[in-house]
Amino acid sequence: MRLLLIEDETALLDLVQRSLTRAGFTVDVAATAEAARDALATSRYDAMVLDLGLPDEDGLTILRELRSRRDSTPVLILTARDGVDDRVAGLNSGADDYLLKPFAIDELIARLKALLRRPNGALGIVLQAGNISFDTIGRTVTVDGRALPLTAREMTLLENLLRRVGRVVPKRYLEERIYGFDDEVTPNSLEVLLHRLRRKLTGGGFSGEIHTVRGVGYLLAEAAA
Amino acid sequence: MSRSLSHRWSLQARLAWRMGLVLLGATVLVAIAISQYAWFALDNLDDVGLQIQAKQIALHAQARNGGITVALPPELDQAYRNSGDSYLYAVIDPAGQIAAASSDKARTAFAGLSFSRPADGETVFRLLDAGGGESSYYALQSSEGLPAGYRVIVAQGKLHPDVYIDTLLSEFAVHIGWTVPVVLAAALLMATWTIRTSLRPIKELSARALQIGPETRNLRLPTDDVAEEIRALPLAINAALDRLEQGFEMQRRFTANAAHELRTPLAVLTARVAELAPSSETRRLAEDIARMNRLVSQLLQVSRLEAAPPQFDTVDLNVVAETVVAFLAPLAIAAHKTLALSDTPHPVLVNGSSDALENALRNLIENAIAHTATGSEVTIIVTPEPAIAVRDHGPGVPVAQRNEIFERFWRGRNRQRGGGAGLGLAIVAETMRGHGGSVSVGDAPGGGAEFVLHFPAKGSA
Repeated sequence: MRLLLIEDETALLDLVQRSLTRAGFTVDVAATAEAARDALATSRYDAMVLDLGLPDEDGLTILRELRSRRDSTPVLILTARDGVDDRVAGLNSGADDYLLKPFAIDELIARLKALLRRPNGALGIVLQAGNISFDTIGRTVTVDGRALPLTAREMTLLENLLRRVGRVVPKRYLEERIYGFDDEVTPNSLEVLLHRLRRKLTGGGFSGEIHTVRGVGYLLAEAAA
Repeated sequence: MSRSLSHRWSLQARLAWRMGLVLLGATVLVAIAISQYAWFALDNLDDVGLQIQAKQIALHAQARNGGITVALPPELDQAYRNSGDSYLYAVIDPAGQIAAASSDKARTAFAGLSFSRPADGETVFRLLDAGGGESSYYALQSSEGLPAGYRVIVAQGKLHPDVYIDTLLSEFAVHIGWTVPVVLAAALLMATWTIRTSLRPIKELSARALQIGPETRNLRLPTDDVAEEIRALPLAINAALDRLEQGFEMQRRFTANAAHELRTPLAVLTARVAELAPSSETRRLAEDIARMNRLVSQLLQVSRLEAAPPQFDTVDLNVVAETVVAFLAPLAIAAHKTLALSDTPHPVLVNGSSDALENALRNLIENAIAHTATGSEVTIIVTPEPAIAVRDHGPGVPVAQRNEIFERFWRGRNRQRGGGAGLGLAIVAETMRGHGGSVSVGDAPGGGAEFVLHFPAKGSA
């Protein structure tokens, strides 16, 4: 996985580069918008980490240039601004995700992996969390290498939770993806489905856990809390 | 009292009142001048009248047989006779005896006079009624046109001059006085019209000023069509607005820069600590950094609230609560606690800034997560009131502290405030004030604290 890390604060640049390298990424770095352009002109990256506060230009300019070339490389924005306007501006400019400074390195790695797991992402084939693996092409799930038989709906539910590991996936979102227009959906259909999935995962020896955030949705944690 | 009252009088009323006073004063002055003039005029009129009478009598006096007779034309004679003794005459012979008179009254009236005066020229004198009556006469003695030694005395019953003046004044009132209310009304109309037209630009200025707000900071008051006397005011206000906008802009830039400058070193620190081998020390360091980060976030929220009142939109409280609960759920799960949302089936709409409300709710839920017992649930309830309640299962807030916890940098002695700096609840209170609502704290059913964000019903705000 080749990443471009654009960040002007050299101490942070070094630390993040080291951590990402340790996590298995190949990391190129750029401290200015100019250096970033040079890097983008010569190499292809699987994802980009972009700090918005660059000394020479606004980081968003680079993002807009990238998107105007129809380059869909996933971009994760690092920002110190948490105003809603900044968030909206970032996402409107074509960012795929953003992370507010300061951030935990593990969070950054998890978000990057999530971006790479997207349908067009470099990690599009196998989703992983803890000891579970989900082959999105072969539609098979294994826990510690042992196959775990799941129904099609259980499979879809698990896939959507795995794509957003560690974050709440809204109930509404899951219902839209699991049930078709013609399906009879009662208010607790999803709950019953999730209950079955949970039982199968626990029975199969899954190291993580699916948490219920009542009234909002569900969250899959890599490790049991 | 009267001073402050007159301050509130409209310009129209003030001008009308003063112009009315001036016009009334002018009317009184004119009336006084007229009566003064009438006094002089009356005296003159009397003199002239008597001279004419004296001449007429001299003209018709004929010396005969050493005596004199006065043969007036019949009309004149009639006039004297019908005057009811208001007009008298007598001719005095050189011996001082009355040779001819208009009536017996004239004889008695003039009888007591001393005629020893020189006969030449004219003399005018007052003659008291010899009969002791109240009327007095104004008389003239002349020798003009008469044989030598003869004199004529003509007298006019002295009418009281007040009668003339009263007559004059009532004439004045009838023929001239009616113009006073008309002129007054015209003047008032003119004043009203002038004021209306010259104040119209001020109304326009006010209308424009009402549109200026945090989101329309670049609007300025018009200065072109404003009267010269008033123009200094919008110019000065515009200059003040320019300065305010500069300060506003500086504050906004400062907040953005401060966010970057403060958070980047924190990010470096976070990354450095993550590189260390895990131990109880590094865990504590991570907690310290998290607390520092929370303080920085809250300070930035405070400065944003102070720098720029957030932009208001229609916000669904269900969505606000869902966003914040989804955002904080991982934090709660990591702390072995759970979050639950009980929303309302229909949208609960308020006027507000979703960004600011998310921040406020986030502060409340972070507090609740910090204080609720391990393994317990923090419940967020959206009600159509409209309100959002956050209930925890912690120690609750003692009644005595329920007001002061919303002050800045307040830290409970008995409550371990999860490493907060005591800004969170102040931000919540400030945000709710900005939304025309309030925040209250009470006991949750079954123990623990319940914080409620109250909003004004949409439409009433």
